[in-house]
Amino acid sequence: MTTLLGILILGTVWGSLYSLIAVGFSLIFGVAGIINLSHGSFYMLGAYLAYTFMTVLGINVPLSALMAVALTVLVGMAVDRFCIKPMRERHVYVLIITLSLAFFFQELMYAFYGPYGKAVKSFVVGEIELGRVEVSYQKVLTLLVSTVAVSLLWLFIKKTKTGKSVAAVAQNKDAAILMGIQYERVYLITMAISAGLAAVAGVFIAPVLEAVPGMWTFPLFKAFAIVIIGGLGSIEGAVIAAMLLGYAETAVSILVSPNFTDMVYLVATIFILVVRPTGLMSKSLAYK
Amino acid sequence: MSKFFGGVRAVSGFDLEVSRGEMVGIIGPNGAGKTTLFNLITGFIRPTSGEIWFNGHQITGLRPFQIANRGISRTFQLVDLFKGMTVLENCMVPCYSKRGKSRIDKGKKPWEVALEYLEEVGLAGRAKELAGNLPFGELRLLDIARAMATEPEVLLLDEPFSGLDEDNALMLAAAVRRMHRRGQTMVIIEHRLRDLLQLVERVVAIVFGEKIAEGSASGIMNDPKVMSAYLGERGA
Amino acid sequence: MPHFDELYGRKVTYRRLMGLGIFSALVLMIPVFMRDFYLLEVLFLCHYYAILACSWDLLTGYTGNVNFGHAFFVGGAGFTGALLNLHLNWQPWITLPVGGLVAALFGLVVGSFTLRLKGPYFAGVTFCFAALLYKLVMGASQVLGGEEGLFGICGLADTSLGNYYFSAILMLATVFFLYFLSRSPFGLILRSIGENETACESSGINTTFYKVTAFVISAFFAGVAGGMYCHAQMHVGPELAHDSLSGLILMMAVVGGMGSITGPILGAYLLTGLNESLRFMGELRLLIYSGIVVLVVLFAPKGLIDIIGKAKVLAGIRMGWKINRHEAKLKAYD
Repeated sequence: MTTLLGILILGTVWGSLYSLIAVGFSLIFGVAGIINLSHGSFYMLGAYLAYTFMTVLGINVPLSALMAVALTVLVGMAVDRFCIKPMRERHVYVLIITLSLAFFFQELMYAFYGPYGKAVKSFVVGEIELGRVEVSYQKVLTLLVSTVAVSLLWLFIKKTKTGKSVAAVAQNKDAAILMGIQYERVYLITMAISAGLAAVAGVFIAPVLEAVPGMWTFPLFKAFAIVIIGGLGSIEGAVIAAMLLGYAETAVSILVSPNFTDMVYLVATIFILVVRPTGLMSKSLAYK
Repeated sequence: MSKFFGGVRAVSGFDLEVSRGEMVGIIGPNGAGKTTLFNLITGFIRPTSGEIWFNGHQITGLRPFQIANRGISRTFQLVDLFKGMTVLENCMVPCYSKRGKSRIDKGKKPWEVALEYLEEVGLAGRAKELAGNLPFGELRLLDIARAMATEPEVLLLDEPFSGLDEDNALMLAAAVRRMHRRGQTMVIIEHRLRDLLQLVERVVAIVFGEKIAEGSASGIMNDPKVMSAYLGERGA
Repeated sequence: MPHFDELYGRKVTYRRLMGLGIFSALVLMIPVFMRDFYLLEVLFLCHYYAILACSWDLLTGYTGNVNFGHAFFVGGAGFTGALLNLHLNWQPWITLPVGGLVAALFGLVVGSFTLRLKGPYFAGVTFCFAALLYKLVMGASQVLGGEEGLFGICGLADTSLGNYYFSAILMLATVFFLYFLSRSPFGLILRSIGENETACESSGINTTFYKVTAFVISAFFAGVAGGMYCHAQMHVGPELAHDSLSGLILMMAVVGGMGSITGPILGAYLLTGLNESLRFMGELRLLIYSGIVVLVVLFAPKGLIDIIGKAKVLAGIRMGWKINRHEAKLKAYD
C-alpha cells in the first residue's frame, strides 16, 4: 500500500515536471511546426542560472528564480529570431541548427562550470509525510509550480487575445495571416513561453538533481517521446502522456530497478509508433 | 469503365460513372468536396464507406502509387512538383514506376521517353532548366506531362486553369483538346466555367459532397439547382 | 565510352570522375610522402567518419527523412563482430561483412515499420533504437562489457600503415558505390521523394520501398565501418551506440553538404581535422568546435560543398565561360 501511494505521489511529481517541459515543446510544434531540439537546453540554462544566482551570487530565491527564467526566455527568443527564423522553410535545417545549438550550449556550460554537478540548495527545507511516504517539500513545491504554470498557460491560450492568436496560428496559419495576425510575433511569443516553462522546470528541479552540462538530453528526448505518444500539437495529449510517463517511470523504478527507468520512454515510443502512429490524441496524421 | 462510391464526411452518397474516351467536368462551389473526390479516387484518403471500382476491379483502399500504376493519374491544384530538379527529371520520375517502366523496357532510354511527354505539352525546349524557375503556366503543363508519363487510362485534372492568364489558358486548352482527340479519358475539376464548358461533353455538379446535377455542358448551367448553388437562393 | 550525362539522373561528367580519381590517388599516395603515425591515425578516423557520413547521407540527404540513430547500426555491427571474434574467433574479413549484414537486417526491420511514418516520428524512432542499444550494452555488463566495453578483439592490420590502407580502400569503395548509386535512377527517385513525396507517389513510385532500401544500404555501410573501427581499436564500447556519435555524423554530413555524397566526405575530413587541431585549446576545444558548427549551419546550411560550387560558378562567370546549366542552378538559389 505504501508502495502504491509512493508511486502515485512521486509519479505525480515527476509527471508534472515532465508536463512542464513537454507542453512547451508541443506548443512550439503545434504553432510553428518545428521541432526545437534546443528545448532541453532551456531547461539546462534555467538550472545553471539558478545555481549561479542562488549559490554563487547569493541572491535570494524568488528573485533568482525570476531572473533565471527571464534570462532563459530572452535566450530562447534570440534563438528563435536569429537561428530558427532564417531556416524556417526547410524543417531539416531547423532540426540541425537547433541540435547544433544544443551541443554548443552544452559546451558553453562545460566551459564555464566544468564537468562536475553543481548543487543548489533546496528552496524549502524539510519533508512532508503522506501516509508513511516521505516527500521533500522541494518536490511538492515543484508539483505546485508545475500545476500553476500549466494552468496559467491554458488560461492564457483560451482567454487572452494574444493567447488566442497563438491558437489561431496553430490551427491555420494562412487564415490567421489574413486576419491580421503577425505570425512571426506569435512564433516569438510561443518560443518565449516554451523556453520559460522549460526554465521553470530547470530552476525548480535544480535542488533535486545536480546541474551537469549533459542535462539537456534527457528532458529533450523524453519531451520528444511524450509529445509523440500524446500526439504532436496537442497540449492536452502532452500533459496526459507526461503524467503517464511519470507514473510509469516511478513504478518501474520502485518495482523493478532504477536502472530501467530511462528505458520506459524509449520502449513506449517505439510501441506507440508501431501500433498507433497518430499518438493518443493527435490532430495530425502520422501517415501522409 | 466505371467508378462509384459513397463516403467520407466531405463527400457522401456519391456515384460517378465515367466511360472510356470521355471528358467529364466537375463543378461546384468552393469547399464542395471536389478535391476530396480526387483524393478519394487516387488513394490519398480512404472512404468511410462505399467502394471504388476501376476497369472491373476494386481499388478502394489501395495506396496512391498502386492506383497510379493501375492507370489513374492526377494533377494537383497547388502545383507542387519537384522544384529542385530539372524539367526533364520531373518527367523521368514517373517513367520509373511499374507502369511507366513498360515503355522503357521496350528499348527506349528514360530521358527520351520523358522528352516525348514534354513535347506533348510544348515544354521540350525547357528540358534542362530547373522546374523551380518555370513560370506558373508552364508548371501546370509540366504537372500534366508528369501525370501523362505513366500512360494513364484516366487523367484527373484538378483546377488546371486556376491562376492562368489568357495566353496560358489557351495553350492549356489546346493541349487538353489534343489529348482528348487521341482518346485520353479525362475528368476535370474546374472553377472557371467558361474554360471548362468549352472543353467537356458531360458535366457533374457537386455541392457539399453530393451530386446535385448531371448533364451536358450546354445544359448544365440552366439547371436550377446548379444556378442556386452558384448564385445563392435568390438565383437566376 | 558511354556518355555519362544521359545515363544517369545527374551529370556524372568526366570532370567529376577525374575529381574523384584525383582524390583517390591522393588518399592512396599520402603515406608514401608522410610517415607520421599520428597523421595516419587521424586520417584513419577521417575515413571512418567519411563512410559513416556518406552512408547517412544516402537516406537523409536525399529523401529528407532524418535519421537520428545512425549509431544504432555502427554499434550493432560493432558488437556483433566483436562477439563473433571473441567467442568464435572469426576474423575481420568475415566479421566485417557479417556485421554489415546484421546492421542491414536491423535497418530492414526498423525501416519497414517506421519509414511509413512522417519525418519527426521516424527521427524519434531511430533515436529510440540507438538509445535502447546503448542502454542494453550498459546494462548487460557480463556479455557486452557494460561501460568498459569488450577488449581483446583481434586487430585489423598489424601496423598503422596497414590500418590506414584498409580504411582508405574501404572508404573509397564505399564512396564510389554510393556516388554512382546516388547519380543513378535510384538516386533520382530518392531525390524526388525528398523534394515532394506526394507527387512522387502520385507518379506511381512505391516510396516506402525506396526509402527502406536506402536505409538498408545506409545501414550496411555504417555497420561495416563500425566493425572496421572496432578491430582497429581492438575494443568495442557503448560509445559506439551513443547519441553523440549519431549527432556527430549528422553534423559532419550537414557541414559538408547533405544530399551529395561528396559533401559528407568533406565534412568528415574537416571536422575530424578540426577536432584534432583544436586539441591545444584544451578545455575550450569542444566549445569552439560546436561554435564553428553552429556558424557554418547558420550561414551555409546547404554545406560547404555548396559554397564551393557557388564560388566555382562565380569564378567561371567572371572568366566569361559559357555555363547555362550552372547559371540556372544559381538562379534557383536566390
